[in-house]
Amino acid sequence: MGNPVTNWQIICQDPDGAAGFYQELFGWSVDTANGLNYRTIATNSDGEGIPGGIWPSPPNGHNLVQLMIEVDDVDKSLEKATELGASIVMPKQILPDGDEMAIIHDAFGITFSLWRKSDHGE
Amino acid sequence: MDPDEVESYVDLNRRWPATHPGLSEATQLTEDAAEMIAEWYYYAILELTRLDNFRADSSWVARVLGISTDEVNIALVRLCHLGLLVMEGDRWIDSSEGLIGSIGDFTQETIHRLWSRVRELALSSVHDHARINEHSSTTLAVNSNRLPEISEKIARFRGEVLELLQQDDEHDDVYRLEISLFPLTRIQPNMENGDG
Repeated sequence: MGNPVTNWQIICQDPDGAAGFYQELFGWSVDTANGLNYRTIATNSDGEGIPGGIWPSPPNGHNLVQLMIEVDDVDKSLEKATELGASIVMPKQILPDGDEMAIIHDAFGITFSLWRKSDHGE
Repeated sequence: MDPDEVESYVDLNRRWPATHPGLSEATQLTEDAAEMIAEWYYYAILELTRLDNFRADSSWVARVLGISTDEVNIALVRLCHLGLLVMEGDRWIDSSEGLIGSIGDFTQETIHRLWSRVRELALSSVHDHARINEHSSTTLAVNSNRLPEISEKIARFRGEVLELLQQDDEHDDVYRLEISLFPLTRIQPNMENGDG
């Protein structure tokens, strides 16, 4: 398979404020019924586009949008990314729902997530 | 990383945002470390993971510690970033053993932030008499030359308590042992002794 962008996430100092803003503006829905209380966002667009989420930023952190890119093997992708000049922000973690995720910082100052869903390849 | 540089690196990181990735990465680590030292609940999250009834659930952790789920999640990212915590599905593993010791090497400002938070926590716990097992304080006249020796004794005592608790295979709660020794005066010992 390729490496599609499967999700995006807003990282924001005021996650509740951001959730309310996009709910009001676009009618997106927010669901936090998961092990990390993660604000998953459905754009309610009849299968068009990609879903997203909102994660809190520390009080002195930056507000940003981060892409989440699906890979076959998070470890191998991390290795290749670092060979290409990226640095690891968060090593691979296995989330409560079984998805695997790592965050890297590319050579140009942009962070993004490497993602492998628990049902990857099924 | 030299602890004396933590605060200045954190300030530098704020002035030089993500346009300097190498610097930003290094300073992000120091900022994470500074927060880790200053916020009592970073240690508490790590200790919670050792409980038999621990649940890998931000809402549960937030409820147990009395903080928000956003605070838990920000702490989670920082702990993972620092390599002190590993998430493995429904298990969160404290991998800090041997990496976290005395906070004595960190900057005074960072330590003061931690103390003030801990003091607030202790004050709020005073109303919960049933859960306080020991609380005492003593005001002492000291010879300043004894301070290194006293610090050594305190470190030894803390080590003995930790060693005792590590003998148990099962843990069912998280407490904080707080030992502080600090001057109540603004006397500069050398000046008062006529040395300065």
